[in-house]
Amino acid sequence: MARSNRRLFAKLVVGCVVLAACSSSGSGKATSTSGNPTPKTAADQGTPDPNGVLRYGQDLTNAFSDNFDPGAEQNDCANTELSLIDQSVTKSQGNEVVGGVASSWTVDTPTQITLKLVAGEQFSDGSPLNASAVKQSLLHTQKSFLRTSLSVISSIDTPNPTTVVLHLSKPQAGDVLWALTYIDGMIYSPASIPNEVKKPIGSGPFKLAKYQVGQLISLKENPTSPVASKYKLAGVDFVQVGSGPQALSALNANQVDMIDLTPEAYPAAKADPSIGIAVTPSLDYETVQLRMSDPPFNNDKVRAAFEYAVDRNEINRVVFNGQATIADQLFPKGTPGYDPALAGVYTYNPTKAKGMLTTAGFPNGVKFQMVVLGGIPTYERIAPLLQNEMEKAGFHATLVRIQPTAILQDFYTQKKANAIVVENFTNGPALWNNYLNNYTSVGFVAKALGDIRPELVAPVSQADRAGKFDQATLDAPMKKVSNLVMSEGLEVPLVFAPRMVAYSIDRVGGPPVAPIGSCRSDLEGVFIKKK
Amino acid sequence: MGAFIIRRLLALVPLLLLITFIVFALVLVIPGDPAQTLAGGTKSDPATVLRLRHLLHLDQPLLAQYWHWLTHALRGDLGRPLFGGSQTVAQGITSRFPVTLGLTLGAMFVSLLIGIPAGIIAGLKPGTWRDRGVTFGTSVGIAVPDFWLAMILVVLFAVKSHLLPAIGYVGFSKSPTGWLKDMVLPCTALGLAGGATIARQLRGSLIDVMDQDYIRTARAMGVRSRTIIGKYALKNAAMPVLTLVGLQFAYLLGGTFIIEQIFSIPGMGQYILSAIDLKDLPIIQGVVLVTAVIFVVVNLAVDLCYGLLNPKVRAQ
Repeated sequence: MARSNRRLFAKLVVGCVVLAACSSSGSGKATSTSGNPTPKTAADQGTPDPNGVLRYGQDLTNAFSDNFDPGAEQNDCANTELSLIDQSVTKSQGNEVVGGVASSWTVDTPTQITLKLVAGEQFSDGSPLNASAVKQSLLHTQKSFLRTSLSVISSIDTPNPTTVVLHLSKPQAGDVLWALTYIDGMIYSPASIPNEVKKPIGSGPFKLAKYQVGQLISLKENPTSPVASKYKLAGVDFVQVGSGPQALSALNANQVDMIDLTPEAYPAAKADPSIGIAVTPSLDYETVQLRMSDPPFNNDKVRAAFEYAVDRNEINRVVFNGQATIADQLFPKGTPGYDPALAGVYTYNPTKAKGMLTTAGFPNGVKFQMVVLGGIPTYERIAPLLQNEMEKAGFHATLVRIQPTAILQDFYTQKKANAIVVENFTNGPALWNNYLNNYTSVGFVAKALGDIRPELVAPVSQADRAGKFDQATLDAPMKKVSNLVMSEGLEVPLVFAPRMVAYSIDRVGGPPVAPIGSCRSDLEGVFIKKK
Repeated sequence: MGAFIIRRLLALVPLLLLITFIVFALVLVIPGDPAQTLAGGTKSDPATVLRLRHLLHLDQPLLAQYWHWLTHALRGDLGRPLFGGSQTVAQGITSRFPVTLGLTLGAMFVSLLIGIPAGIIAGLKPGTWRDRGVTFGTSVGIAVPDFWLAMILVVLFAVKSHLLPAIGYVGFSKSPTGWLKDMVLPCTALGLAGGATIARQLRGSLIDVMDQDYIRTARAMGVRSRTIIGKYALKNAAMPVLTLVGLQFAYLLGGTFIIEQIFSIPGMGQYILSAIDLKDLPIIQGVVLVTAVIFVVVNLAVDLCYGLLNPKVRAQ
């Protein structure tokens, strides 16, 4: 514990020092944290260097657990690297699921999906990328207890080399199609399966050239990839850098060309004219989960009051530098499930919240414990801000710091504290997926927090069964979920977290686009400028 | 001397056994359930968690778990990381330990490079402006945390002037100059406080020794000042400094953990910190065990050096 505290303290001090130093090394422009600053983009797009290798600074020790086998890789964030080596069956693009290895698919029934492949494609070792390869990959990945999303596949048929039929044991076609966009659905050469951990062979735009554990993952272009033409880089070197200020230092020192940018490092990056920033709004949101099985949040009137006790705008301004999107419902504008009628309803109103608490029988407010994920700067900043806002509304929170490794045990299993600030991964196009876990009887979170809501099963299942991700299919059921969650205060969404990358304007063109979801970088179209 | 070494070595056996047990038992106080984490966290299936607990021997009594671990550890088998990977724990430690050792030795070199001359300068002329300058400098050196100094050095020498790298590591065998460039900032950040401590200790010891009768006698006999300092004073003043250097080495070995994070150096610190984040027990146990054993060995070496420097210690 002492070491953890020391580490946290070190991180905070280090962060302050570096951010201050980097800010002063910039153009001297004042960086306002108010309003909604416009991120910079590459001023000069330049000419792609055909030999250009992008040096991508990433915390490999946290984002990659030393394993190239999609079935065995523990860390979902390894998707960043693996998706460049392997192609997945389908891909997520904005709010849609599009073709990957499968050029098209049909949901024959809620328990059967037929995938169509393109004939003649191959892996980087020259072996054919056909239905048999897809089947063997999926069966290998399915064996892993990490990829539980594939456990619903009961059998796989391959009637011809370009057709794969997935038979499901439950009507969850949508979940499976979504899972196939991710690390679970990556397809690799059957011949490489025994050595996939160290020597991956896929059909992605790059192939592994060099690997030093925890230090470097060097990829070089794979000219035989079906998607090779979309990429303009000769290679990508993922270089180990710590997250946050350390990553920014490495970018400033010209040792890497691009980094994942944390909210804490944003002001310093923005003040530097040599650094470009790309921001993508995501569907993942910061939220307060409530333990509904115990007081005070077993009272629906208390929970409803909670929605008015948080100042989402202030959290966006202070913690996310205005780059986040306010989450006054579960889905942002432009997404299925977004309800214009909810916009602006749940604004910060401590007087109203206090009044609602009085009506609920708590004229002196309520006291509770709220868990903060210790050592994570974003949460360390959100929590005291929330505490202060809620205090004015009669919600007296005591903050309890728990290390991320202990959250499962302490908060969910041993039921310590009444609430927690966490990020809810809305899981891209599969908007319902999160709510299976949070509010239905099959979900771990729902059971742990006593949040099982039978009325949500129908809309969630309806969306899942259809296997479609379009507005017409998802809008009505997701609106129903969103309205119920907000009106009964089942959780308190705060902001949709922005995904950001920072890059050297002198070196990188394209321009880069931050990934839509957590850990899903796509370097399509990015290039190194020719000098 | 031989009997002295054997006595010291025998005393290590129960100590090491105790250390291994404490290392193993420490796992119990680390929060979180590795089986549940491994099984997918909030989306884990209870049956899978139970299966994993059995596979990891977590359902056995503590002593049985300890015995299983100890017997394997004695054979050099520290297990595999819980969360997979291409290396065993022993391989992971073997590949990272030289990096950490290089950093520690480099920092020790910086400490001695700063500490010994500064201590001599101050200790030989107590009360002068040199002494006051060294005392002030060492106070600052001790007060400045190594991770803070590291970040200042990065900003000055990497971000602003691009003279030295902010991150990264090249093996000595691949490029000695590249290794040296990568090591300058981390070793300086890590070694400065140690240098200040050594300087203070040496200054104090030297002032005491220089006041002894035998030094006065040597001076009265016309022995050259350089000989008095080099042959008599420093040798006697070195005893407490030697103790400090031993402790300093152990401190530096632990101190590298944060410095490695800051400079993205793939050493033991980076290995164990990410393991702690994941609650990867075999890695945590392996690294703590190796570090503890090194600690013990360094202390043994210091004890043996006492024996070499002072015959009275051998006799005891």
